[in-house]
Amino acid sequence: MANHLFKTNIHCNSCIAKVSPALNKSLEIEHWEVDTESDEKILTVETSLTAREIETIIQTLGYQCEEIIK
Amino acid sequence: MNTIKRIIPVSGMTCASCVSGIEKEVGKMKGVVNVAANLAENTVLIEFEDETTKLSDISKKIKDIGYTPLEDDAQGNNSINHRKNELKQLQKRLIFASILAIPVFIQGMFFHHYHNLAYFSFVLTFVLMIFPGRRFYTSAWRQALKGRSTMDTLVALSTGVAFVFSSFSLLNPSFFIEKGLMPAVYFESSAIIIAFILLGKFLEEKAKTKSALAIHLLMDLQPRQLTVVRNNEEITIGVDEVKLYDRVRIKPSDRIPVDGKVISGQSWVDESMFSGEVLPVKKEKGQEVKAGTQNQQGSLLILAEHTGDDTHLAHIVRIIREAQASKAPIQKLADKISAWFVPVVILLAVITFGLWLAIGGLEHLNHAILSMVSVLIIACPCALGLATPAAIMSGINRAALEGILIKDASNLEMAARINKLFIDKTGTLTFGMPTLTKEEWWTDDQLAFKHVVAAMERLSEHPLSTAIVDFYKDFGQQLEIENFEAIPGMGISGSYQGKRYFIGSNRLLINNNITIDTSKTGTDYGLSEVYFSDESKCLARFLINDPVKPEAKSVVEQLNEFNIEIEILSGDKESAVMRIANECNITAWHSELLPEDKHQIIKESQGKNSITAMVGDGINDAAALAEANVSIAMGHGSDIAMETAGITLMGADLLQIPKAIKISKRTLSIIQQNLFWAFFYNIICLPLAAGLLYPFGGWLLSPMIAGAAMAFSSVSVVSNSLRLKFIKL
Repeated sequence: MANHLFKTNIHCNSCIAKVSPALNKSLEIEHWEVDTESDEKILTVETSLTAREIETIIQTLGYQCEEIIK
Repeated sequence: MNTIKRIIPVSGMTCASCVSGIEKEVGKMKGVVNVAANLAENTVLIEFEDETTKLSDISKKIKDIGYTPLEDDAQGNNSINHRKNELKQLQKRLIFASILAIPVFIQGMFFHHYHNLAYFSFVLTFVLMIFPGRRFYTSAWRQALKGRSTMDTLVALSTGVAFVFSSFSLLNPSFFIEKGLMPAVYFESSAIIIAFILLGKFLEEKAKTKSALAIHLLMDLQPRQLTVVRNNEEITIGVDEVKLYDRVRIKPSDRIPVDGKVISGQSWVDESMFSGEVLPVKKEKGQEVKAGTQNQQGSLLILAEHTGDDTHLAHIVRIIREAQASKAPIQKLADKISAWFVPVVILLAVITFGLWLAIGGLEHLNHAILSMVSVLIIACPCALGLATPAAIMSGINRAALEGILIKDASNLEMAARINKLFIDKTGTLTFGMPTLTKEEWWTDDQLAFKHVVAAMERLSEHPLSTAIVDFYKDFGQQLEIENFEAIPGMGISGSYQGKRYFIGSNRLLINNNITIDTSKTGTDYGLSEVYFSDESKCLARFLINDPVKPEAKSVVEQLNEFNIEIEILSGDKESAVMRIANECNITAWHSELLPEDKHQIIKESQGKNSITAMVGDGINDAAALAEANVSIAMGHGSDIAMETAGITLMGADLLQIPKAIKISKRTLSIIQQNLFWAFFYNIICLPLAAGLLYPFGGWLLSPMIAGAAMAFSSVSVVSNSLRLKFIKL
């Protein structure tokens, strides 16, 4: 299980509602949240999936998503 | 063609004539395949083609005929609330009517010589008729405009005739005196008839509502509120606001609100309502949980995959409701008769009136009027309309509370008549959790082949496969099997490294021209045998034991008491089936059957005029189940199995089988009692009401007694049906 941070353009509640099902559905995602207050709209995901896989999930839904390498 | 089924709650139905009226009119609509109006449930069950007809059109039609269709959800929340309201209304009307009717009755019985007091009764009766009694007249009028008649017609006519006649006598006594007749008033008849009928309706509604509520309680197992985690925030919302794929937090001792999968956490969940298994089941990541089950001490985070009307629980409730609204074949006769009842009764009443005047002359005008009123009132077909549905509702209810889902009324009726029962062996008579007890290898390279066996069996869902997989847990994890194929009733085959392998019954090997060296397989333990072979020779034999359920023997005894013959149908070999049959005291069995053989045996048996039941676990027996008169599916009832099986038994307890049959038998006998009393009562009472006994001692049935008798005939039919709630099983 690792924590990944992503820069996204998920900026409002309706965007969150759009990405929720896909993130909720994966049993490999233990926990996720989007900080819509932050400038970079940071998505934090605690998961056993790779960062690339998370990016794909979000990008398929039509949002930008890019891992922030710490 | 796609048809869908819907239940529409309808208010305003009062008797068997309403039922046949709605069925006839709606049945004529294009695209409507099936209509069943149910007086006990106050619902109309409709099956219609989605493309040609809209539900709103059907609702509109029902409204046009003069009844009120109600909006409803799958659980029937609205109809329940509506019913409770109706009951309250009815209670108010009853109290109001009684307060008015009692003084009228006292005046009529004890003070009828005080002419002035009769004015008082006139006023009270009039008020009674236009307030608490109004619905009888408005409904009768609405029906009359459409050229139809119902029970309301009879009530309206009888009380109306008595009232008009009495008012005329009161206000115009000279008309009678001039003709040498005593003017007489019968306000008490009108008043008491209305009061009694309202009382009867009230008691009947009360009993019906109680029964409907019992099923509703099931739905209450689903919590009204739940906590979802949305973007890392926990919010408590109503159960109807939850969205598909929400993550739902389950706290200790919560009930699970939706169907879904565990994402994280660990707990034990009591699923006894679905499985019959009293011990809680461990739940952790990836496992499924069902709405309505009871979480124990742990916490879970689950993914909502089915919500609201789509949960397993909601499906069960819907099936029960549809079953209750369905119509038993036995009822068709009653419906046919009651459609003619009202017009015939009106005709009889007129004939009665005519005969009195023709035989007795004008001085018997009073008797003629009274007899006509009595005939009209006593012949109300409401008991007839309730006789079957009230019993069906009660029976299906009781079965549901015992964990037995009966799909519809015809299955209930059929189950009572079963005289031959075929039962599957594995997983039905036995636990279906076979364990490998002995392995025999005829090759030197056991280790390599064990990996192949384990890998192939992992791809199969057959219970015998599970036993082998359990035994070879650590083998074949990484092996890729190609061209996997399941051969129903025989086994499986697949390729590994270009070589083809078979696992299954000896028949599978024979079919593939592989010989089994009988000198090696000499001993027959009467256990299930599974063979493993490559393309040319048999490599191993596995002996698998599946213990018989402990209750099997007593179930066989009970079924024999019902004069039901039992035969085992099994795909397993002769000796294994025989061993199980002996253990359960079953004298007839068929072994080494393919699914189509099972189907054929049932078909043949039906040709011999027996009513057959097939008990099985679903998939393997699908064809046989479909062919039997009554299909009984055991086990954890998937939604599809529930839809197709006539009877679904929750859990794996065989004792449910005789229980289901017993409930069906009792329900059928109560229907017969009800129908007998409803008919008998009408046939006996009609001539009495007409005044047949008058020439012998001047005995005449008072319209008030007729009203009371008529009210209590419906009440007695409903209470007789409610006995099903308490019968011992």
